[in-house]
Amino acid sequence: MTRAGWILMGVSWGIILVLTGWCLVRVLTSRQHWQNPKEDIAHLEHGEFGPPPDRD
Amino acid sequence: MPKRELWASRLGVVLAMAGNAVGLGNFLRFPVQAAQNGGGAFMIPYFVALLLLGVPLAWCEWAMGRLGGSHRTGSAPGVFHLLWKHPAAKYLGALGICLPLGVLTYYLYVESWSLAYSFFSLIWNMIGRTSVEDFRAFLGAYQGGGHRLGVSAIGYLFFAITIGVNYWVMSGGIARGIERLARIGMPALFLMAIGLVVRVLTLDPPSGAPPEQNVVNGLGFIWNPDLASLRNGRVWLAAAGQVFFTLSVGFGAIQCYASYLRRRDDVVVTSLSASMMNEFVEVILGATIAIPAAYVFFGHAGTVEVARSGAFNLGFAAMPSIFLRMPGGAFFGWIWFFLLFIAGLTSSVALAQPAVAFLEDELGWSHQRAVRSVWIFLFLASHIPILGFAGGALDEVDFWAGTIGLALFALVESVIFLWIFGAERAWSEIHVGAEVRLPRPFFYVMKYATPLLLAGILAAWAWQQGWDVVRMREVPPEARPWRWAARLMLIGMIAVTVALIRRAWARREKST
Repeated sequence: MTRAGWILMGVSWGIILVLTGWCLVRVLTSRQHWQNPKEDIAHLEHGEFGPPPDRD
Repeated sequence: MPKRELWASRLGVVLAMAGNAVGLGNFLRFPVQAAQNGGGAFMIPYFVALLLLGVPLAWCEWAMGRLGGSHRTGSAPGVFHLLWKHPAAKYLGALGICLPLGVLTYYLYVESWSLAYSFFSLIWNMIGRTSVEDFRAFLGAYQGGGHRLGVSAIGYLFFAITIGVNYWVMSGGIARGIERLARIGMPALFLMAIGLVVRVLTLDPPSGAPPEQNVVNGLGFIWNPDLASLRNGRVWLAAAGQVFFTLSVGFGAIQCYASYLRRRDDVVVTSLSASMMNEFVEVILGATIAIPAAYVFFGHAGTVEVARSGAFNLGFAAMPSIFLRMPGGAFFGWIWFFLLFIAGLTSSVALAQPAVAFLEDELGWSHQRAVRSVWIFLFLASHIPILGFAGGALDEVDFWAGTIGLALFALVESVIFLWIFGAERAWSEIHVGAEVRLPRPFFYVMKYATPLLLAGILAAWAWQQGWDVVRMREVPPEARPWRWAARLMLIGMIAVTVALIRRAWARREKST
C-alpha cells in the first residue's frame, strides 16, 4: 500500500470513528424524556398544525 | 382510536435506523465501487456526497417523519399532505410506498440467497466445488439457470422461508418486532463483521504465492488513490449513488420509522448516529473483508477480475472459494453469509413498513391485517423478478425503483419540505427537541445544494441516456418481455396505491 493510500485510509477511518464515537456517547448518556418510555407525552405540543385529527 | 406505537428506547431507534441503512451493499457494493472508481480517491467525492446529499436528506426525512407521527400518519402520502395543502401532494407520496415495495420484490430474493448460502457454507466440502468458476456455475444453477421455470426448487424454498421470517418479525410490531430484531441483530452483525475483519487481517498468503500477495496490499487495492479519476464525472456520480443507496435516503423508510418517535425526541444527533454507524460498517468493516481477502488468495490480476465481475459474483462466487481455502473456512463462511442475511433482514422489514403504516394510519386496518396483506402481495409480486431473473426483470426493477426512483423521490421530498413548506420552518422543525444546533451553513446546503444536486443528477441522466433507456435501445428483443413485465408491475403498483390514497382521503372527509 502506498503512503497516499495509508493517509486516505487513516483520514477516512479517523473521521468516521470520531463521529461515530461522539454520536454514541451522546445517545447512550442522553437524559431526554424518551429514556423514560412511561412518561406521559399528551401535554407535548404538536407543532403549528395543532393536535392530530380524530380519524374515527 | 387505537394508540399509535412508539419506539421503546433511543438506542433501539438508532439500531433500527442503522439496520435499515446497513444492507448487502455495505459489504458487497461499496468495496467494488471503491475499487472500480479510483480507489482511495473515491472517498473524496464519497465524503462530499455524504455531506451535501446523504446526511442533510436524512435529517429532513427524520424531521418530516416525526412531524407526521405527531399527526398519526407515518407514510409519505399523509406527510406530504401535512406539509403541502395541495390535492396533488398526497398522490406524490405514492412513490414513498411503491419504491420500497418495488425494491423489495427483488431484494427479498437476494436476501434469501444469503440465508441459503449460510447453510451451504457448512456443507461445501460435501458438494465438492473449489474454484471461483465452480461457484459461479453453482450460483447460476441456484438462480434458476437451466431450469424450465427459471427458478430452482431450493432457491424457491429459501425465498419462501425468507418471506416467512420477515412476516414473523413484522407481525410483532414496532417495539416488539422491528426494534427487538435490531437490538439483537445489529450487535450480532457488528460482532460477526469484526470477527471476519480480524480473520482477514491475520490471513497468511497461500503456500507458493509471492510475498507481495498479502493483506496490506489487499487494503492498498481499495485505498491506493488514482487522483486522475477525480476528473471523471462518472466517479462523482458513482459516489453520490453509493451514498444514496447506503444511507437508504429517498426510499420513504426513514420517514416512516421516524414517525414512531415522540414529538420532542431529538432527530439531529440520533439521525447522525444512525448514519455514522452505517458508515462504520461500510467504510471500516465492509472494505476490510471481501476485497483484501480476495487479494490474498487470487493476487492482483485475480482481484481485478473479481471486482469487475460485480458485487454478486464477489459475494456468492469468490467468497465461498476463499473460505474453502482458509483454516476454519466453513465457520467463517457461515458467519459471512449469515451476516449478509441479518443485514438484508433489517433492511427489508424497514422497506415494508411504509406500506404497513399507510394501511394502518390512513385506512384504519389492524396491524395484523396490514402486515398479512403487504407480505402476501410481496410474495406474489416477487415472482416477476424471480421468474424473469435471466430475462433482466430484476435489473429493470432495480433501475427504475432502486436508482432513478430514489433520486426522484428525494428531489420531490426535498422540494416539498424545503421550498413549499419553507426552509426556515423546516429548519425549525429539525431543531424541535434537538440536543445540538446544526451549523447554519447546513441550512444553505439543504435549501440549495441538495435539491440542485438531485435535479442535476436526474437531468444529466435524462439528457444523456433517458430516452434510450425508456425504449430499451440496448436490450436485445428476446430480453424485452420480462423487462416490460417488470415495468408493468411497477406501474400497476403505483395505480393501486393511488386508488387506495383516493379511498383513504374519501374516508378522511367522511369522518370530519
